[in-house]
Amino acid sequence: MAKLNSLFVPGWPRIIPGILACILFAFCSMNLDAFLKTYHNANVATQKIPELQASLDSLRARNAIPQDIGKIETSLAAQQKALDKVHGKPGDRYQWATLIYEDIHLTYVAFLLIGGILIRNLIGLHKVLLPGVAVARPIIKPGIILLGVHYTLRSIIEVGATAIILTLIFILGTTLAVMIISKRRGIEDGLGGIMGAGTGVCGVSAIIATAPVVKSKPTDMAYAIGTILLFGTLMLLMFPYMGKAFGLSQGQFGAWAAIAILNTAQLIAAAEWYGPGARDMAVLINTARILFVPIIVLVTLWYYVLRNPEEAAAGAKINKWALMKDKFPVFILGWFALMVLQTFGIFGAFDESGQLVAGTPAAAMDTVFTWFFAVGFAGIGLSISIADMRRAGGQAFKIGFTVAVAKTVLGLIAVLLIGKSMLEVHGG
Amino acid sequence: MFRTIVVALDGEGHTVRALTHAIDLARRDQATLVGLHVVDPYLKQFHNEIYAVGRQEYLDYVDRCLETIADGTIRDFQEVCRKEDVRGEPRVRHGDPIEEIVAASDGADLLVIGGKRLQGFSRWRSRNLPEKLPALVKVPLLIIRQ
Repeated sequence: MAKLNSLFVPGWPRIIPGILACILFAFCSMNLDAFLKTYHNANVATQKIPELQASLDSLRARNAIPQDIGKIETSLAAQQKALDKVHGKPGDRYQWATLIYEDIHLTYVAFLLIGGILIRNLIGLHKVLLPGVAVARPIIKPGIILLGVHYTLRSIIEVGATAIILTLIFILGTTLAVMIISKRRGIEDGLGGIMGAGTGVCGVSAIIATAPVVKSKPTDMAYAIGTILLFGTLMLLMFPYMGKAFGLSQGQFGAWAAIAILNTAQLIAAAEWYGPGARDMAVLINTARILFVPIIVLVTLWYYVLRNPEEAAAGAKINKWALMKDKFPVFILGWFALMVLQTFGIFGAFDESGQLVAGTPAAAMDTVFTWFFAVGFAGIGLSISIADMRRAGGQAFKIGFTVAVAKTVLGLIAVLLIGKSMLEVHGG
Repeated sequence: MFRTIVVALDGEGHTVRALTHAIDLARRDQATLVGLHVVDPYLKQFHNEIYAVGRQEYLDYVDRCLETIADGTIRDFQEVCRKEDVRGEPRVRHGDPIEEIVAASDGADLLVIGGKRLQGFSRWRSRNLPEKLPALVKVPLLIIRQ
């Protein structure tokens, strides 16, 4: 019995209500998404069927080759199937579904995030749900690991150089710029260090990794976390619509979100909201980004502790290798392992358009990861509290605002200059 | 006449000012002055961030910081009570500051808190205890504004 008990985290029953609430919320949102998508597809089908029928009649009248006729017949059958799902007939209109799903872009991500924010801040969450909701957020991680089947070494090499250059400029550049400018302006090391890492690397996660190293004060940590959450959330809500307004491709948006949005949770959510191509690109750059966490912690240690004559002796006693190991995001190895295995086609092939072939283990993983994401997004949405963001303030707010604006503008210019073709992740 | 006075302390300037007034009242009425410090575990909730690494180190660090602040606040309180010859009783509670202050003040004759003068964005940002507590506490409340 004692051995069995040792398998569980102490107090684990406390997380069950919140986790169940997130699963239920995810289930409802995914079904609402599927419902809207079905009617949107039917709406598209009602418009395409007459066009396809006319093309088919024309081809038949001209005695076109069977392959051309076959292609149109296949498309027509697919559209008819989409219409049959809602028991519709050609001429029926479901414009409301297209408006909500396509034009306003309210997908399951939006339901979970916007709905979660509204529930948390207008109705409130009962205390019994809070521990489970907090634990639901990292459930995205198994989803990220499974997403490894979307990549191969070839696809990574294709965009790898661009991704690494963007990461180096925006991640390391931001961190060093914030730390150096903060130091010159007399901002306390404890705040400058966590804001440099937080705005540069992966937001609150980086603050958690660096705060003990630079010995931040609790008030500064609250300011910094509030600031990152405030600007991360604003960027999450604005970026997908800005991306559409600027006509960014999926890959361009993914790269922009990954280098500019201040907090990791919000950047993955924004990219998934924009579309699968944006998500694949954002996860790839974000993987490079979080691999920088141990390096940034070391840079911070050197900049604030080892260079300081008063603290150098204490800093020298710190085991740098142990520090690096402690701050290394181990789960990334899972993502990497799946990507390597998928390079050899272990989990199933990609079709000509770079999509995973249906019926393969990889395609099954594709469905499973979406559920991990959905439960994680439910946790993120229900965790976004205006009360937390209200704690943004002081010098942290000024730094956060400046970096958010700079990264938004410069990141947008960078992805527009790089172009669409160099920022697409192709499977296979 | 007050027999037990509770003063909420967090080590910041406005609560030090509140303590000065609470000391005067306690000395006048020969009351017991309870110096209440609430350890707010607010920052610990973020250890579960998606990509957080070094979580235990972070939690330990936050605990150490909060403990240091609590020790300093209580030490200063005891020092002032001894200097002013007032019967002081330090008390440390853990949890949400508003809930803990309300719970700790139950049964006391007076609750004294400090308040910052806040305007605009700062007022929106602050949890503003002086505005929230009057509706929640069951004892007389004295707010010392900065």
